[in-house]
Amino acid sequence: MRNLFPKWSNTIPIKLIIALGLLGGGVVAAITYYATPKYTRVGYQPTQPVPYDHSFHAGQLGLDCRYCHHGVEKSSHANIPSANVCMSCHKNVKSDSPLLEVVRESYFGEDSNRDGKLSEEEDVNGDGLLTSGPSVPWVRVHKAPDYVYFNHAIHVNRGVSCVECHGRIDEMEEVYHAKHLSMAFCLECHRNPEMALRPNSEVTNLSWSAPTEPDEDPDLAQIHAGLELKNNWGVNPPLSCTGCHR
Amino acid sequence: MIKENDSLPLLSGKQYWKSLDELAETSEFRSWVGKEFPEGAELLDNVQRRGFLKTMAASFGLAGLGMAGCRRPEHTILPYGKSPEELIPGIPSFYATSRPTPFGFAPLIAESHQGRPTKIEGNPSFTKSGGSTDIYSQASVLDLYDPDRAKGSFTRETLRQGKDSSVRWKKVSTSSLLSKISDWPNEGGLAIITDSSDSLIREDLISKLVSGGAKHLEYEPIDPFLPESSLASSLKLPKNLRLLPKLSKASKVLSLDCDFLGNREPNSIINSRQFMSGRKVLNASDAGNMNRLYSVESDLTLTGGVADHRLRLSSSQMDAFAALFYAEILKLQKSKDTELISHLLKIGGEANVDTSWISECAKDLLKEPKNSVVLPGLHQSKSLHLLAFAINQSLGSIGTCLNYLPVPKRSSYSFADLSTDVDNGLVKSIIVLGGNPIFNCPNSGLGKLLGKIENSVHLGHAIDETSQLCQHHIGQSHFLESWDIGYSWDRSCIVPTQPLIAPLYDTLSDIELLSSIASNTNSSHDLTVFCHTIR
Ligand code: HEC
Ligand code: HEC
Ligand code: HEC
Ligand code: HEC
Ligand code: HEC
Repeated sequence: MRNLFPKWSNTIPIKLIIALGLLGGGVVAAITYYATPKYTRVGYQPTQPVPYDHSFHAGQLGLDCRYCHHGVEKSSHANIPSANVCMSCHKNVKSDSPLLEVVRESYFGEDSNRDGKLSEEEDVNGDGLLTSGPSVPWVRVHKAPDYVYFNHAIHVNRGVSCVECHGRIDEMEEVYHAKHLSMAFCLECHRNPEMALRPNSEVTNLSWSAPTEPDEDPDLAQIHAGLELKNNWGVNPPLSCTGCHR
Repeated sequence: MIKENDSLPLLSGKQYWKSLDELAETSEFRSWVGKEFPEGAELLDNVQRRGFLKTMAASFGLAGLGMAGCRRPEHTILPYGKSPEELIPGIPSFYATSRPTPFGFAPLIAESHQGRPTKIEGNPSFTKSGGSTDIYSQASVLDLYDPDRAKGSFTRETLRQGKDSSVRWKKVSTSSLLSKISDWPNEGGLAIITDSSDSLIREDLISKLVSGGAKHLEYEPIDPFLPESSLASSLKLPKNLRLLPKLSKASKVLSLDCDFLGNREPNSIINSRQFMSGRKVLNASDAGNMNRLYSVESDLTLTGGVADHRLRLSSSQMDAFAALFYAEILKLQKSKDTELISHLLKIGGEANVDTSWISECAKDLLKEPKNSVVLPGLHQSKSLHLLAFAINQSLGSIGTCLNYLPVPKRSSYSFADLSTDVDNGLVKSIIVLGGNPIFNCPNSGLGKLLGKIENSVHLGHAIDETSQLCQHHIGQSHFLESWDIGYSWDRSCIVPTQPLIAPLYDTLSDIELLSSIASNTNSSHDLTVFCHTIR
């Protein structure tokens, strides 16, 4: 009887298996690379309503983060500064820059001639109080999902610097998502907090590194300093699910 | 063989028709029903229905392909224009305030998130309640955000079209309405109807208006002051007598239809705390010292649930029960007053109760007479309150387990007086402050009176039955939006009410309304009245 299938068809099953394996592997690899926070989040940089520059204000001018993000040591939120914080300088500096118009509108509100006083005809809602204008709509860059409990105060007061989670903000012209802030990222530090701990006074100094003895490895210096702080403060970050998913 | 049921068609009931064509069974109707889709349904402007669905399905499919829907949604962070001092977003602030209730001012702590009150708890520095509150105070914060609130002031307008007329509420500015109302006292013939309150400012303002000739009527659907005024009149005292239980020392309590642990009686929070302190068992020897509660009641109440002995008795037999109980106490105390005892037995004759229950209970109470107390229910009759007074007196527990606190008499002006005044033309304008008397005092006849007079206004939380019969309605500010100060129920302290938030709408508090008509000022949300009264 004639062969129904030509000879080359004998290798089809093995070829198919290899092809499917490669395809499956490719899909898995693609998903782990393209569909995880490392790829989807890092580099996220929305356009802000005001081109506010951290590298200038925090970097060159040397303003402390807490000057603007004043809740960071006390509250779960770090807070974006309200318009009056910007206006404490920008009443005098660049006071008519068109870039800052949104901020000025938010600050002056009903006071339309911007003399700091409320006159009869400016009082639009008639309550006798100077009402400020609409908020500056800053676009959120970092966002923890609703099912995760995150608290800035706990971290900042235990010597965890902004740089661990937000990167070198003081070198960014416009803030972008520098770290991926996935669950693995949180847990990595919670398992070994000594890699990150530093004295409380250096938390907002993003360029800080542990002081080294001559020819000491900087990583080793950090671990020694971190371990000491960890023991002194009794630092024990939660690893159980309920610590973060309350 | 089963016989066919002839009457089956009859059982299928009435036949209904949906159009006259169907009833007449016209040929158009038959052909219309015959088709699957009515004519024209297939054609949507030259697009076939099937074709349309195909295109839509394809476009939905393609929309997913580009993952255009997988972009992260944009959130904004909206900081203040000018940040209030000391405010840190994420950290709540707490303010002491109080809630005006018919049972006095309840001291509270209100939690506020960025200026918005969110949660209410008792004020722990009011040691008697120790930081607990009742369900009404807990829930009261929701009233502030109630979507049915009156969001400003309104004037009733009747629109006529031919024979028909309809009523419409037109929004007006509160200040313009207020300046109109402020003239009413000058025109004479003003009556003010209020719910009860222990506010000192309101009392002061109203007495000012009353001395200027206005009438003041105070009402409450279930009058919490009836027992105290009836006691005063029976005992011929110049002041009302308010019963205040002091249960921390009580070892035997007999409740006569008095839900003193539940929410129906004033002071229930304090009562529960004091009563339960006598039930804490920390070691074996405490068990013998636990207090004991007898409850005679006509309903299922919290107090009955806690009671060691509960007797079911209809409300109407409470007097008879109390008389029998008093007689039993007198007998056990070997009283010589046989006349009183036989009189009591006569009153108690009609009671249908287990006499052994009464004698056991009386014996138990007499084991520690000074620490035993009888509590009559607020809604109970005058005679029951008098009997309870007498029993407590003969037990000797007044002072140890309860107090009768003399409190000032309330305004005695009644709806009947108002009615005669309106008929005689002595009252031309009526201001209803708070409450909803048309709904919860239906037999007061107020509805008719409001129809007879020239001016009427209702200050209330929402446009309700009372507003429907008034010409104007003014939205009432919530207590978290207003200043006030008043007595707690036991009159041991004076508690202020301070606003946590400026009024959300164009509303007024009763104080603001009264002060502007009393002094003809138009200052809304003003501190001066408040400070003035405190001084
Ligand atoms: C002069 C005020 C000011 C100072 C100082 C400042 N920031 Fe900011 N920061 C802002 C404003 C305004 C924004 C919002 C605009 C934006 O996202 O660029 C912001 C945004 C951010 C964000 C992104 C928030 C988000 O949306 O997720 C981070 C992170 C941040 N700042 C960290 C820092 C750190 C770290 C420092 C100290 C090195 C610092 N900032 C100093 C004003 C300031
Ligand atoms: C300590 C003072 C200070 C504070 C606070 C401050 N700035 Fe500035 N800002 C400056 C100075 C100085 C400059 C640079 C002026 C120049 O280039 O001559 C500047 C420049 C700017 C510019 C560029 C303006 C232009 O026309 O080039 C923007 C935009 C700006 N700031 C936004 C903000 C915002 C938004 C805030 C509040 C979150 C803020 N600044 C807070 C000092 C301040
Ligand atoms: C342990 C990691 C971590 C550290 C350390 C940290 N942040 Fe954040 N930050 C986050 C996360 C996560 C969010 C998103 C929070 C959310 O969505 O609620 C965030 C959000 C923010 C925001 C946006 C506004 C807000 O409050 O949500 C600002 C501003 C900010 N951080 C500033 C800072 C500054 C300044 C510091 C240092 C003083 C700091 N952060 C330290 C993790 C961190
Ligand atoms: C760089 C190190 C570091 C990173 C990254 C980090 N944490 Fe922490 N976390 C800490 C330390 C240190 C503590 C403090 C433990 C203590 O006080 O004992 C802590 C404590 C906490 C707590 C406990 C708060 C409490 O009330 O006890 C929570 C929740 C938490 N972190 C959540 C997170 C989440 C969510 C992330 C990721 C977005 C994160 N952390 C990332 C170091 C870190
Ligand atoms: C240190 C804090 C922390 C702890 C502890 C933690 N998680 Fe998470 N978890 C997170 C954060 C942050 C995210 C959000 C990650 C993101 O946005 O990509 C997350 C996300 C998740 C998700 C959603 C899937 C995803 O990746 O987005 C699941 C499921 C989850 N966690 C389960 C758990 C379980 C189970 C445990 C206990 C073994 C646990 N988590 C412990 C911080 C934590």
